[in-house]
Amino acid sequence: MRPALLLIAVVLAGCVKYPEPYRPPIQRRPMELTETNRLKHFVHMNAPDAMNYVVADVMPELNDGNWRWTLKSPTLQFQLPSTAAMRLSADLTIPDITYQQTGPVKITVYIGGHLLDTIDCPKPGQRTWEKAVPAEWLSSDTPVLVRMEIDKIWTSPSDGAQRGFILTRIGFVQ
Amino acid sequence: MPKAVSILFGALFTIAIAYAMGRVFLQRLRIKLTREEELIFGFVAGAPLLSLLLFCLASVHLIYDGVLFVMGLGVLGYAWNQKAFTFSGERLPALPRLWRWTFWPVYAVFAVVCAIYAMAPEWSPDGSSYHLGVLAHYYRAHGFVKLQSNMYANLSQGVEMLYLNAWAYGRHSAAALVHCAFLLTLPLLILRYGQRMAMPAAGAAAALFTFLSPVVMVDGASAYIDIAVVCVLFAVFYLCEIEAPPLFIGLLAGYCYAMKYTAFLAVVYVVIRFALRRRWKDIAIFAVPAAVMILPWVVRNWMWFGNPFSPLFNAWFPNPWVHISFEQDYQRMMRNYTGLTSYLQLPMELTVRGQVLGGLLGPLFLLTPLALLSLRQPAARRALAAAALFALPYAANVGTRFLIPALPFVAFALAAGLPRVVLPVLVLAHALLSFPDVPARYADTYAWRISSIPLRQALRIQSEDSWLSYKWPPYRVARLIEAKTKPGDVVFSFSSIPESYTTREIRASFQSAPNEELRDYLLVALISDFQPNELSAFQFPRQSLTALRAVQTANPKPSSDDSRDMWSIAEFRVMDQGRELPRADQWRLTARPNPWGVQKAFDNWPVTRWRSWQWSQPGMFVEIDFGKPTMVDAVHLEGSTDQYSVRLKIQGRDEAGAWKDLAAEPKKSGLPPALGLRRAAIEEFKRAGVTHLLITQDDFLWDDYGRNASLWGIREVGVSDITHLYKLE
Repeated sequence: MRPALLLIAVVLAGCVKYPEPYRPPIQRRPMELTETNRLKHFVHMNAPDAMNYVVADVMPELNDGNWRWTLKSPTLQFQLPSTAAMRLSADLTIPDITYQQTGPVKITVYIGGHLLDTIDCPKPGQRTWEKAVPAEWLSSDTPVLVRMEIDKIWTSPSDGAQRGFILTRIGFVQ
Repeated sequence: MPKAVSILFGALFTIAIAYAMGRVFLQRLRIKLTREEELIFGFVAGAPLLSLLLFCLASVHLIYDGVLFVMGLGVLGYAWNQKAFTFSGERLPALPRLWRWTFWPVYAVFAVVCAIYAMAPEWSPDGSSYHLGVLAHYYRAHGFVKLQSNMYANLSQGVEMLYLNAWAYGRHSAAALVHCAFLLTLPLLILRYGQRMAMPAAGAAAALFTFLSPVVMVDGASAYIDIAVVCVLFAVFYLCEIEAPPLFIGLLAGYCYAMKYTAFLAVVYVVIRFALRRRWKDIAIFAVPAAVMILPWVVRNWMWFGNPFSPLFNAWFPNPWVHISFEQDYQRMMRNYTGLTSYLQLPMELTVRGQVLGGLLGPLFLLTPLALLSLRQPAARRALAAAALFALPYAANVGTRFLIPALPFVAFALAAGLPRVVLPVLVLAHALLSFPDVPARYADTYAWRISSIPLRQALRIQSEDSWLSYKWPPYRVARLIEAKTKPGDVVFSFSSIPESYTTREIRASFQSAPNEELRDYLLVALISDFQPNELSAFQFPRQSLTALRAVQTANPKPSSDDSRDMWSIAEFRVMDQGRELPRADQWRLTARPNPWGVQKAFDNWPVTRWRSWQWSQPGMFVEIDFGKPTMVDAVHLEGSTDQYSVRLKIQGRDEAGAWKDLAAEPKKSGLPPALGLRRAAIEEFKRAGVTHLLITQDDFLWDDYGRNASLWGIREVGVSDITHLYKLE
């Protein structure tokens, strides 16, 4: 029995034809071989360079390895490679703790000086919001400023600290 | 030539050639058969011979109308010259009068119904898409072509070879009529078997039980292959019962494999029968013709696809043409039909309802347990044993069609077990309940069956184009493709379409590994979870290594949802002191499984990714051999989040050649979603030679293609019902 099993194993092993290892392929776009701190079109709050995008009102502390608190008017900057068919996208959360004090809130979003949208948050919870942005509001030459303004801000009863909402990621997508 | 005539000619010419070859074979073999058996086995023995001859012609690219015609005339002339059509055997004992007057009228009526249906334009799903779609490619290429984008072309095609001959003259319906010839032969085989066993009533009843089953009729009257398979399977059983020469049995048993992989059980059946009686020499003789019929398909697949049994057994014979994950998913899906929530539904679904499992056997088969009453009769016992063996593949696919191989045997045992007096009543009741469209009164609305007798369409009084355009939306899609694309264009579609009605190459998303990869590019562009949005950074002490590996370590429970996760890497970056090392030309990349896709993890292109294309298992790896000692201190893997159960570690090979673990706890962070993914996906399609995209409103996020056509780089060139055809710009 054993020799038969061995024979089967040998025969089957011989059946498998794997290719020779491959060379690295042609790089489809240039590699970024140096670590740059240049801005991109999108940022996750847990990215090592996330604070480079922050212009104002985003707390530097990273929570749960994933998100940051905002204050009243979080403002971020982005560099866009192109301006066509862009949508602004954000993952944000109104936590129970702030909602209990503020109740429903509204977050107004501006691109540069243009009012893009007002996000109604009638209930606490996480949401992914997205909105198309007119190309003429954007530029690929200079950083684009995104400001989100919450209408009611939470104030800590114990130490008076203020918080807006939780931001997990924000930026431009197509 | 009027279409109806060319259809009939194509079918009858093919059947006649097979019959002639079979009669010459029987003459040469000097087999002792009765007249009735000579007639039936003439066709059944000739089918494999003609199939093999056509395989040879297709292999050397001699499939031309002229060659086929001359070959056919030559065979007929030779058989005539050899007096092969002369009957030499005695007659079987006559059928009892009751059965003469029951069997033949019922058989004749249903034979006409089935022949008319077969002659009508073909609109069966599998027949019009791949059984005939693949052979249409062969016909246009005058022989076999390596269709890397359609795994159905890798199946054994012993029946389709016969269709190829008929197709040359009468296209779809001629092929369906050849299948119908097997359908009409099968009940005659069962009838004669009953007479041979001195059980004429059981034989006649079983023949009609089988033939009049709604799923058997509609399958046999379409360009499928199931009834041809079961016909030859029963012939193998019959020949074993009458102790026919092993050479003959081997020819037919081998042909069973050549027709359909799962019918390989015919070989197993014969070997068991011979072995039980210690007929070792007969097994050796049997093996020769069986191998002659089987090996051409095995060798073709091994040479072309690196897998002799492609598209099955891909884990045993890994290859770039069919993913292991496809087989894993397919097996799972075939055991879980939509609408089937419990196996307790099976008896009613199989016999009465018929929609969920793709056809119904007929209410008569609710009596199947009574077949056990026949166990005291040796012939019926052997039939039941054969039924049990040939029903084994049903465990892998619970569709009704997959029980057909066992049906004649069950029917015979059932008829043998019931009192003879009730058999004519049951036959007539079965006939009544199966006649078009009586099943509408008890079966599901969309149960697959012959629901009308399309005489006008069969005779082409109403044209094929007019009828199919009116009744069948997929046909309109095929015609749209034909009208809006050029010869040589290639169309990608998420689902299969009736490929036999267009001359363009269709790349249905699930039909091959390269097609699945194309589908993945589209889904990466559309689904955030598929995109390279997550960076896993593995840091370790700086050191000199000759090779690096990312190894998958998780071992999810086989039954859990996580067990079906596939591991993927969008980009594998090697770091040293905060800088990425350039991917040097002396690097060598490999992976297990799917080494063929490893470059996609090193191409710096966000829409492509290396995927395991196999449910994740511990030990899978992606490896870089640096070719020389290289200083490294980190690995950055960019990937998607659609691989929840995957856990990784990094291993390095030192200069002494020893592998060691370097890091297992990556620091994870988000990556910006790549822009331009839609256009990047379409670029990959163009690199693969695809020119058009077919999107139906049932496809995932179908409206994105129209709404963002400029982002994709596509332009709509036609619409049919809910299907949109886009040209890649």
